[in-house]
Amino acid sequence: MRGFTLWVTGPSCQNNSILSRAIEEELLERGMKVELLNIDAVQSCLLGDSDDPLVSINEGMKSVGFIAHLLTRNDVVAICSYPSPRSSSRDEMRKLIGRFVEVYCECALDNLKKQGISMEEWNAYEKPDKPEVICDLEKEGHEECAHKILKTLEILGFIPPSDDDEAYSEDEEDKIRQRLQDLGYI
Amino acid sequence: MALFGRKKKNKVLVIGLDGVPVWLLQHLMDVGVMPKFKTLCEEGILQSMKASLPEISAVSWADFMTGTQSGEHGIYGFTDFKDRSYEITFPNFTDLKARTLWDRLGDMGKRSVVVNQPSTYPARPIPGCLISGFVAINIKKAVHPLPLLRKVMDFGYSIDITTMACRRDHDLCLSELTETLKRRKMVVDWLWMDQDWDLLEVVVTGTDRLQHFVWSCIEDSKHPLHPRAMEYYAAIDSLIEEWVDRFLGDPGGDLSRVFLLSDHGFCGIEQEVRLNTWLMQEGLLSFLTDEPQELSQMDPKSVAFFLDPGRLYLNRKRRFEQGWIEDEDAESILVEIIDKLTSLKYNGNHVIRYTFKDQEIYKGPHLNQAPDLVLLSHKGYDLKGTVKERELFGRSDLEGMHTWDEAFFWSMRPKENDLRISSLSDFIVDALA
Amino acid sequence: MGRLLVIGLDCATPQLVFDRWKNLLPNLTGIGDRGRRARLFSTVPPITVPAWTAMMTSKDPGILGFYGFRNRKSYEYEDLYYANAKYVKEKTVWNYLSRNRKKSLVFGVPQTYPPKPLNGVLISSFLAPSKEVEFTYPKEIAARLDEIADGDYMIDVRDFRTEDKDWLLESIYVMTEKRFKAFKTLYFEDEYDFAILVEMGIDRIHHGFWRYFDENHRLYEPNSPYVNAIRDYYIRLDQLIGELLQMLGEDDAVMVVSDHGAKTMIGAICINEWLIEKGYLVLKEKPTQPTRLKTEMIDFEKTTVWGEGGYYARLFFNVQGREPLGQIPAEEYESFRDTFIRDLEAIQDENGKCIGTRAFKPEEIYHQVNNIAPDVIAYLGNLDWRSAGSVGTGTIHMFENDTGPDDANHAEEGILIMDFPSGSYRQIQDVQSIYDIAPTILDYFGIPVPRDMLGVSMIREEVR
Repeated sequence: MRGFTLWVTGPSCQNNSILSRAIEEELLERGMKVELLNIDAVQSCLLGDSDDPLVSINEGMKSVGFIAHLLTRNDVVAICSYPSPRSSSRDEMRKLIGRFVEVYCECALDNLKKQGISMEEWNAYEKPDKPEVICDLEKEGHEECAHKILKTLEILGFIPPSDDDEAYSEDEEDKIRQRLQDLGYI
Repeated sequence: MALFGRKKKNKVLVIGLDGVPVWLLQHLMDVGVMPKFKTLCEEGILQSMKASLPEISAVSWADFMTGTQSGEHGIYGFTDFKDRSYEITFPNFTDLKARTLWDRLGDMGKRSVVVNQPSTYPARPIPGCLISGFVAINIKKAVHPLPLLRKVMDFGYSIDITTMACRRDHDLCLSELTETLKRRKMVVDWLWMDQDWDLLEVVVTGTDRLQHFVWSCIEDSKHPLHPRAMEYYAAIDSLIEEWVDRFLGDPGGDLSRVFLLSDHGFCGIEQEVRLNTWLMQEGLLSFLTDEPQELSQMDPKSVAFFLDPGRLYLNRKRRFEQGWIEDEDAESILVEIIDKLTSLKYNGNHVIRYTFKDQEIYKGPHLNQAPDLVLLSHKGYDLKGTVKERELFGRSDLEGMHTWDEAFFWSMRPKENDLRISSLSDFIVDALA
Repeated sequence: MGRLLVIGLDCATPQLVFDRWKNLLPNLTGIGDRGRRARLFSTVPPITVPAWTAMMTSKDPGILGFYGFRNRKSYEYEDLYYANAKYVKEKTVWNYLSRNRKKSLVFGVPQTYPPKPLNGVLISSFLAPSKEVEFTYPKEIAARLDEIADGDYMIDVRDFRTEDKDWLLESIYVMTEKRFKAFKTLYFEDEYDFAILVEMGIDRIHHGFWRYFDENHRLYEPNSPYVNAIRDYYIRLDQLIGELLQMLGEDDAVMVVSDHGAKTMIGAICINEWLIEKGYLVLKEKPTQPTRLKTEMIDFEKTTVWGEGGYYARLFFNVQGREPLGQIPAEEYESFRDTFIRDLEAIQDENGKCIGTRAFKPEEIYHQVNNIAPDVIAYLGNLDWRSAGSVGTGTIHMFENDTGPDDANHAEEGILIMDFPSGSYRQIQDVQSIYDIAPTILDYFGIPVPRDMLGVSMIREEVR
């Protein structure tokens, strides 16, 4: 299986982190090589030096992106939920890495406020134009979001289809055969 | 002066009636069973349309939703061969290799609500929402997005009637058809109001079931179930009335953006024609066992074999692991088979109407998966790929079969010569552009 | 914490391991002496499928949705289907371990075919149809298995219900030696946090040879050359286990478990003949010789109950509105079942003595009842008798099994022996639950035990 980068982005770092950890576990369970690059994991060594936190984050993001690129080309799945408010930076990552899947984690303003995110921070965030997946953790819940992301990865051919979601189980195949026979199609 | 001109959002309504032939609609209008449809035909154009090849729902609806044919979308039937073996597999929505019209609409920022279109199981994300149609076994895998599932199940929605029981018990068949239609309407009505949509497509598949199981009750006005069958078509007509009227009342609704269609036609069965039995009699197909149950039990030395309904495959080296026929020898074998098939008769009547070679009707990246020949029969001769029958001709309890060039299309568009079902997706996309 | 090795001995039974042959099994006894031992209470029913899956998921058969090897597909009258790994929807210990970056070697655990991916290596069990299918993950391992097993790895003995005892005995030994060899080779090829090996040989040898060593068995033959067959096999297994223990370090833990025990089988109750006699089951035509019952032989318009054979009895009711030709009115279901259970409990042996049958209602013993459970699960003679499904036997009591010679039945209690390095355990009873195994494994690795697991960890925090 070839590597790829799953970039989870959205105004709420907390939600991004939760979602990326859920996907990490699902892919680990499927026996894949996965690394999670979120802010907790890389904070101490990758944050840039600037006094301006946004600049600092963007510099850190370049390092994270580079690591993701190395992992991807060595056939490891890199899940990044590093804060990435600027869409131009994310597009740069996409260009660099190639096998890149962007997950936009929407978050309603009310929920952002509950998480203590300021209007300024929210305004600084630039929504992606064409993410491969859009989800809303509060509206859809963990399972639904994770399922959507995994299904998209399967459809786009980044991961093999899971047995559980195999189109037809043996049992279903029998039922399908029966149904088609009933109608005289086979 | 209008300072703030609101851009009107156009909408499209598509209603499919699986398997309903154009002439039957004409007849039902003539005898007063479908008055609404008659009104529609006074305003718009009813024309006949060609289905896919082969003329079965799996392929026809695939042609419809992708706007192309099997060489591009990769679906050649309800069954296909697993890789290069003789094992049978059942292609599903994940095997569709071309983009659907809903994906194209999604690129334009348009959302689609699709209910019960065949060949969309298991459900996958589309821009909008999807409830899969036939062949769909598990409702839990037939709904996208998942949050809709609970309510769909609460409505008592069912994808299909219980085919096994209904085939035996025609009374039950009509009861289940009515009930299934009622619940399908409830779900459509709910989604109509609940969802934000630009295209709403619903397919009624009960018509295909009724016509397969009890064709005689439609043709024969003295059949005891004839009144109930007519009631069923009348109920469909009322549905069309309600939905079209509601659509016209919706902002963005306009008769020019209403499309009604079927995916193939129908007729009564005279005789089943067991094509693999024919090949066995011709010495072109043999099996490793005396009582074969499946094609996969075939002797690899066989020359050719059929998949339902009339797809011929030569046992080519390039196509099958155990195949032996070289491409340069294939043509002459094919010519011989075509000759014999076109002379095949039942009671003095020719059975085969057309034979199409793969490249005549398919093109695209999946051409190498295509059958060498697709047969179309004369009306009444139902082509079968079973390996279990010893008699070439025979009957089962099934009464109706598909036809190719009698599907119907209703719209405000002018009549077209040689209209194909694969053309419709462009009509829909253009209507929303 | 170190690594954890779990050795599964299908059907290993406490009366032999803890009592009768305790002194002949130094390794197994040693683990228990250093650590803890207990009888391990199996699932209802106590059979390989679903017991191993229940153990590895800590979920009961009702939650899992299968009640034996064969299960009803629907309420139609078709024959049963075989539940394989595709039907296992609950997460196993190795799923959780993978999620937490722990590597597992899962070797021969029943109901793992077809294999699903994990972090590590998985080799399916005897339930894989043959070696021609993909029965390992990663699939490349399969090709090497014959080589590392010293030629021709055996998934199972071909037919353990055979008269050819010499052949059977040899096959069991060969199979076991190869399996242990393959396991050890794979174990050393990588660093596995968790490894489990399940050996089927004990189950096979119990069924094939019990009559030769148990004086109480009806068909006991004194002075048989096979009198020590079972004993000697246990001894050999103990030696092989000793070799595995040598692979472990000081920090490593070991558990030895079995999915159920074994006991003498008195005979078989031809359950369908009994149902015919009591008027519950009516056949279209009475067979004149012993025939396996197929649903197409049953006159469902006159039948209320039909049964299946096995080590326990499954009884299926023909209910109106549920089965196509149901006879029992839905509102009378419970009263019918109660009466039926009383009849079952009154079954007698050939001398007219009550055999003490126990009957269970699925909804009373399982936390959920998923898919289609039998309407009644019965332990005939409390598992002293097995259930024979054949009809046309001319008798209700049979002393040769209808599917081939089989001397032992399953017992409800298997074995648990464990040695955790820091030796800190919660209160360990004489009888522990099979549902406690998975939580213990997860707890050992510091993984929070999921709340929906039925059991609890048997070790204390300091152990890790």
